[in-house]
Amino acid sequence: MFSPRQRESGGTAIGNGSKVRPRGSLVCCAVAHGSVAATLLWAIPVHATDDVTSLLGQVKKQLEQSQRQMEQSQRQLEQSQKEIKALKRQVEVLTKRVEQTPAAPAPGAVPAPDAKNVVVMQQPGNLPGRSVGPPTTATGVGPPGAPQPVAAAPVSSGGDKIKISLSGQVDRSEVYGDDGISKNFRNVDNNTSSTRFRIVGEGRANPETTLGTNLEMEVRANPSSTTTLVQNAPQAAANVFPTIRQAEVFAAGRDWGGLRLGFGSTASYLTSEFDLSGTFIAQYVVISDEDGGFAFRQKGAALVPGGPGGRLVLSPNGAFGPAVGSVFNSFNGLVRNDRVRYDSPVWEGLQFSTSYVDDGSWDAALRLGRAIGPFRVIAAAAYANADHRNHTPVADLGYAGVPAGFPDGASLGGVNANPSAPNIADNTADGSQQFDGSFSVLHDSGVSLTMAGGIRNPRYRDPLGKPLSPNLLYAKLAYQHNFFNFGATAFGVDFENQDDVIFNGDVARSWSLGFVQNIDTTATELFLAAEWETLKRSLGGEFFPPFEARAGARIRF
Amino acid sequence: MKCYMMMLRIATAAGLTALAACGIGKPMEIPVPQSELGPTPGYFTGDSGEWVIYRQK
Repeated sequence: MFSPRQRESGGTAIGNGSKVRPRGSLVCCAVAHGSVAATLLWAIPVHATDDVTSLLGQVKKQLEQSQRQMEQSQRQLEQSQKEIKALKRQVEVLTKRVEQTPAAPAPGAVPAPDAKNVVVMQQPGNLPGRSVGPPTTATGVGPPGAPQPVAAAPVSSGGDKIKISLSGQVDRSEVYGDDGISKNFRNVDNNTSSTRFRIVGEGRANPETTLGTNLEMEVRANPSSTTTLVQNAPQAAANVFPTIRQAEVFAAGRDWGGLRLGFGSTASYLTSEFDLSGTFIAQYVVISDEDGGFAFRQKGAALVPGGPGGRLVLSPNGAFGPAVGSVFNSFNGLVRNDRVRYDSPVWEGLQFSTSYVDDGSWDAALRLGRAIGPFRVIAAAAYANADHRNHTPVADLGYAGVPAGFPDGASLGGVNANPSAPNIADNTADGSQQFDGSFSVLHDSGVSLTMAGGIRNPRYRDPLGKPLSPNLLYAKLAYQHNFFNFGATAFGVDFENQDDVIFNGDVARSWSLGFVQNIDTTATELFLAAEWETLKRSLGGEFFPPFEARAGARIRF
Repeated sequence: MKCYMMMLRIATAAGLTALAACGIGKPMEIPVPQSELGPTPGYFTGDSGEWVIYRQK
């Protein structure tokens, strides 16, 4: 500022050589400077104060906002905690319920005899909601492996109080036949399991009881059981046979079984058809279903008891002899009829059934399903009493082609009548008592053995007055395996022998090879089979053995 | 009579065999015979093999 040299001279120069101003001007400058300084000092604090206030205000606002957010988060946290507590309570309740509910046994496991609160894993008596076909339960035969338990019907309907459902199938095949004289192709409905549909209605009266209706019809155009090789060709378009198979009402309960009233399967029906082979649709015990209308053609001329009083008359070479369906019968009980039927609950895989038919006939049956180590075994046995029923004697000795010399038949000139229809005799259980049964054993490897048998005690005699003792023996050896990923493959060989079905001394035999390929995605079974049949009769000469090859498909829809 | 006695014997044997079989192995579901409609899968109806026309829960 000022150097000492400036103060001693009274107006000394400032050290930098400039002159010093007078005192008054200094005061003015000082005052001016002071004013400016004061103004600045005043303004800066004021501005600074405003900024701080604003800043404080902003901070305050931010704090308030943060506080509000914290409060909101706190509320959300409290809400979440409440929800968690509620869920925990629900889990506790459900856990208690699960602990109280009886546990189902593992597949294939059997609860101990003294076990309590055991879930019933077997369906009592083919109850509705699973199957209303006779008489058994649930799913069909699966591939080799552990048996799968199925829940009882009143629970298994998925919680429905009322349900009406439609199901069905179409089953057709092309057949080549050679009866030793004629050869032909026929397009037929495979009577092994004919084309059909059904409508089932089920209503749950209470959690343990079901009431329902079952209506099933089959529509067979050219059924394989009655279509001939050449006799009724070309086939009329009207050769269609709609048939009622089931028309019944039923009631079923888990604890007491099932009761059915109406037209339908009797207790003994299908007891000779138990089969785990996988080749059922191609070959099975009911030979008459496969080519029942084909006739055994007479081999060479022969004398047959066709005249009055059994007098022998000449029957020419090639005469149409008995139909296949006349000399083969599967002893399938009382089949289907108007009846009342009862099925017991299944106990240890065993089920009892009985039915009383409208005409006074009755039957009883036992069915069994067991898994023994690597083997699955199913079996059935039945007794049928149809003594009350009338047996229709076979017409014309069972010959479709009237032998020469037979009353109202052709002359002795050797003319071979050419009838337009097969002569299929009444070879059912009518007028007799009958016992039949079958079993089938399937090993985990896929090998299976199936057998069936039956005997009959008729009160009638054969057309010549001789006693009859009809019997059946059937055996099949088969193998099934999943060669392809689209379905199981099965093939087998079977043999059947039947004696005395309509004539004393008759021996009818059948051999067949069968092949089935499943296509699971389309619920299709493709089948191929070749079959030879023979008939030996103690009178009337010999017969050509018919040969039949068939190929077809069954599709369940 | 002879045939009747034979049937009776066979029936008795079958019944006893069935009861004995109940003590061997494990119970298994008795399948629906292959000639009959049953709850097997269908092409259009799926695994259940049936088309539900009407249902009330």
